[in-house]
Amino acid sequence: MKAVCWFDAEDVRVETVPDPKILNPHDAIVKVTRAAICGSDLHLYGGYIPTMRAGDILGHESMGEVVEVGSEVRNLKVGDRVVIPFTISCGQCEYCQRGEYSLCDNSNPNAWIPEKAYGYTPAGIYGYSHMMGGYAGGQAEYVRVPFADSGPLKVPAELSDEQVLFLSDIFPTGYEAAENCDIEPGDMVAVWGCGPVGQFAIQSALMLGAERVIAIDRVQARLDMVKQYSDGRTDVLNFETVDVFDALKEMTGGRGPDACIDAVGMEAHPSGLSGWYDRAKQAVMLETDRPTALREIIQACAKGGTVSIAGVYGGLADKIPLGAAFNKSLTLRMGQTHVQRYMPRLLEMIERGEIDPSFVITHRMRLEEAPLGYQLFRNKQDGCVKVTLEP
Amino acid sequence: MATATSEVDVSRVQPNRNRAINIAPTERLFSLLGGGLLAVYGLRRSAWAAIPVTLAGAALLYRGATGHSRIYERLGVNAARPEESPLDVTASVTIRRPVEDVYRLWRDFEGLPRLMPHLHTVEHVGDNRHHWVAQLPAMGRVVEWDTQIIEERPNELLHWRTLPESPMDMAWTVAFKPAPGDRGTEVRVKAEHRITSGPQLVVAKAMHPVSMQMLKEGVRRSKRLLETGEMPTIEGQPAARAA
Repeated sequence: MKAVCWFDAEDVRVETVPDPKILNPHDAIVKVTRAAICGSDLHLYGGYIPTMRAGDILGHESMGEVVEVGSEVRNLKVGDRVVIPFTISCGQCEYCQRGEYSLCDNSNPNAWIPEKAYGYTPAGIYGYSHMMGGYAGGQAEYVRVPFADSGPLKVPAELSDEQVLFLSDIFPTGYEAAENCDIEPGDMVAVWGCGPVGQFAIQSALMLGAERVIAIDRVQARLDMVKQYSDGRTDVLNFETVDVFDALKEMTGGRGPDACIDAVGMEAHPSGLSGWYDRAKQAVMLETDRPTALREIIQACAKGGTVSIAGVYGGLADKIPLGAAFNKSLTLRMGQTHVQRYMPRLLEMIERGEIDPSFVITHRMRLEEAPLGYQLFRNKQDGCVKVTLEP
Repeated sequence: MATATSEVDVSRVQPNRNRAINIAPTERLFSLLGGGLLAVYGLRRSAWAAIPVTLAGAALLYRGATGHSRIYERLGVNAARPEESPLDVTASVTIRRPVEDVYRLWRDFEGLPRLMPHLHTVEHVGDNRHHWVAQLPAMGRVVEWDTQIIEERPNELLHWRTLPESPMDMAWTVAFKPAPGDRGTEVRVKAEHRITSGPQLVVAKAMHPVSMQMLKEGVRRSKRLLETGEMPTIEGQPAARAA
């Protein structure tokens, strides 16, 4: 089959590889009908995530048709149309039972690696380095789905691939980021980063009752998208032309936003001296993450407010203003998304027509064009916000 | 390890206060190297100023060689403490299953190769004795030994030991207890080397990191087998590289 494979930083190619096989009794094989490139794939593309191996198959946002099931699979049968959550979760451990699927104890075959780095291992993830299990990803014609009874969500035929594909990651991720803000009537929510996750965080914050959402980015196409789909309930700030702290203070009557969402993560595009400081430290491996957005968020957040982190961080970040967070009594919430927890209710929202997630798609490509897709998405060229791939 | 760690607890009491090792191995090594360099540097200088350098070097050398620091002793610091029992290997895990299920899996000695792939076979030879055949990673050599169960308290504790004709002198303890808040069963495994000198000690020390990882993985596999019925794997999946 054809698959999008990682070879090195900025070296992604479409290669012919063997078809996946059932390896365990709870496995299923899915014929992929559509996949997408995620913003977090760009961290791999940039070479920022360690333990990738040349030849690894990428992709953790995909969906398709079940073509084979292992001997112990009970909830799926051949022919089912499913969306695959990016988190691989056994469904049996204490964490899965609590609905904390991204913390699954049992799905990472390389648990010992994150145990060295993080103390304990999170769940395995498709196509996201050997530290996260080394599972072959879904930017391919076929993908093997482990623990198939507690992952894939069956979707009705009336909904198109484009409407349901993002249940695999970015819609639940944006939704969980907004839900973690515990939004109350009158709350002002600020969202840093208007990539696909930021777009869904904004939509979710509005659905969860935010008074207004203030969206922050520097890419005009993304800010235009926010305005176009938010019915006048958002304001946008381009951080290259305004001072974000002052503008937010002004827009919130001097209080600051009640909740702030970081949909940027470890590769922020900072300006000024601190930006060069982080780039230099990252380049010589003294720091793995550039937390510029997070620093600004902690400073800008209202007293007693909530900071909700959806953007991916991987290792060590410098100069987090913990004193500001402490003395303003901020609540910090974060983590990989518990995708399976959100999929059913978000599917219902799509079925009821409350949201059509396909609005973020700007580029529809063939699987073979994936290398160009990575390039456009990374460089934000050609108005690129979200790329889907069709095998 | 509340049930079987009396030896460890005893060793935590500082014996022989004045002579005890209280410097960590790495620091000892640097003391030796640094002291040696300083002493040599000092001795090769003829000036009077070289005397304090030589003396400082000699003091560091002594410190490194004995592993004892009087300053640490005065301060009540014992930097060597985490390394006190460098040969014992321990691992623990909580399994979301009733204690009876967990005990049954570990009591099934013949089934232990499922948990620890370096074990080829474990065979019951009667009288609570077992014959073990293993191949150690990276060494390739097949090792065989015999053990006897010393203590067996169903759903609480298993304790077995090597018999005298075995190539090593070891004891294993597996303790089971219900986890708080209905979280399943806590399992604690400890493998103890009961040797104090000789080539066996050198081998055991060299193997320690490997032994530690093997036991941790074994404990992890017992959890995964009991909770999900399978081991997560990526062996045999496609990739764009030679298999």
